[in-house]
Amino acid sequence: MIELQNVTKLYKNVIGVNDITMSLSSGVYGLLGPNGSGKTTLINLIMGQIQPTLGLVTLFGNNPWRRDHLLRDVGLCPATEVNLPHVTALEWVSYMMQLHGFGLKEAKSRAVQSLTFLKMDHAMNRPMRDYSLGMRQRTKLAQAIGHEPHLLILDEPFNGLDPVARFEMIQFLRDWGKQGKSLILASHILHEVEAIQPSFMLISGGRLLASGTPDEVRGLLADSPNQFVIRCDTPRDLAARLIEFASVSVVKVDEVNRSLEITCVSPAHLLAGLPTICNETGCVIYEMHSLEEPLKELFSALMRFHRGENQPLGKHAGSVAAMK
Amino acid sequence: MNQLNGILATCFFELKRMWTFQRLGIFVVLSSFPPLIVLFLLWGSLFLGETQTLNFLLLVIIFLVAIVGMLSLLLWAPTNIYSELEGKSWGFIASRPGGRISILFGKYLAAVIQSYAICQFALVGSFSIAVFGNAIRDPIVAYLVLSVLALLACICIGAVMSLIGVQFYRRAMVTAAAYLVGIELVVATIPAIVGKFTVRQHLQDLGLNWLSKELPLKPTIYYNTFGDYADWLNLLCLAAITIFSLSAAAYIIQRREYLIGDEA
Repeated sequence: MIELQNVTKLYKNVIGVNDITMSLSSGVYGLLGPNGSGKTTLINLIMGQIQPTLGLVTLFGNNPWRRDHLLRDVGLCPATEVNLPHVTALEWVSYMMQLHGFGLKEAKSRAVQSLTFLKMDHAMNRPMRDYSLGMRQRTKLAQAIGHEPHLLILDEPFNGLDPVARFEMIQFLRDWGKQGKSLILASHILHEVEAIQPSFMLISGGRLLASGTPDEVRGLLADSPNQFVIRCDTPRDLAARLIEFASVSVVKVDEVNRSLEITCVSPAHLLAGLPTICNETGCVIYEMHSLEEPLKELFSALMRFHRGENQPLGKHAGSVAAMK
Repeated sequence: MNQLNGILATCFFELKRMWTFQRLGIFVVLSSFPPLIVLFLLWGSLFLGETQTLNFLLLVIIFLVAIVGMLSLLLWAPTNIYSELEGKSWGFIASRPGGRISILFGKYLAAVIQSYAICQFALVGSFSIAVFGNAIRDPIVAYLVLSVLALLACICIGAVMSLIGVQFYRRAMVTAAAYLVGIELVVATIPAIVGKFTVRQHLQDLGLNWLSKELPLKPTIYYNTFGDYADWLNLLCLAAITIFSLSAAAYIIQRREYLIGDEA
């Protein structure tokens, strides 16, 4: 469906994406990366809106640059907010459908259908200035699915959504995947993407750092060098046992908060041995968390690996993505 | 057929968006400006006895309608791409098959229609007042000729401004204003072949040919200075400028990287 071969995009002196190679067949993919990591640039390349400085992009077997007929089967929901305060959702989505080549009647019917499907039927005749962020997000999504595309590309679709709307969005995206259609979901929030259970593509600094299924990514996390905090009743005793592990390099004891800050190169061994230590010492662990946010932690670990600062993470890290 | 559908849809969508207080206000101000000036001149002639200006009333109307027509085009035509980028709707349009061409030609059509509507309102208002004050000879011929000239001006200058909007999208209005002042005002007055590359000289030629009886001055001096082109040649030149501008704009818009989103 989509192939990128050694694709690099430069904006004058700034690198948008850097030497990315990947091959995506039909399926559900989560494009994960911090803000400014190159996700939108990658989407722009796939959509043929920009030309790679180096390398080759193909969409449905063809170079998408200046071949906008390839977009007939693609629905895009960009991260940007639509600024049309006086226009109603129905007018705008109908217009988008007309741009897609449908006649006025057919366009309006499709617009009504997709807006109703996304529970916007009660508000679709009101100007968009009256909409909440969630309603605007659903309107954006309606224009992306109105022409029934095979491939749906969503850029940060969870931005500004309340918990109910997030849940509904996740349900919708899960159903989309179950229908056998393809989805690329770009986000910087791990757990929201994880809820849809896609294959992951992890991008940072314009580089594809890793890719794989959720289990494979969890495997990367377990093997990646990181820091975490354990709050327990006997931190000094636990510290004495943990330092015996070869993978543990630093243990800091905080008596005031009754916690430990542990730095280790391969937490998988440590985590496997932790229940046994607790049993033997009678230590009660109240809380255990990473020092960084999960996604940030993963990216930090992957970046360290790519810089060659730590031991290899696992077979998937830095590998060229070829997902079936 | 699909492309035409998209162009007409864009044009219709843009015209529909005109129905806001802000845009209607601009429309009313621009279209009522020439009639108000004509009214002021008539009032001057009736109550102050100043009749000299009335001899040149037709030229005054031509000048004023040209000004409001250009201002209107300046507002709607060169902002074709920038307004979409600023409104963050470009990404949605460009991800449609044929979306770029639809937005170019659809917005061009909408700009021409809006500007021509302003010119028409201004012409009808001005001529109505002039006829009421019995200040113009053969107003029907003059009105019809000016209607055609205004339409040609909107089509042709609108095309040039659309090209400016596509090429210089970040500074579209400034560049378009510079074009109007530099090319259509300064270069068009140069009595040399370079002047024939401007829209104004061809419109002037046509106006002089079609309105020679109604104008207060004999066009001989003008012909001696600028040359006398046949009507068909003037029309051909205007068509060539329009086709070249729109073709160049279409070529550029298909190849220009306008980014979707804020990330770069």
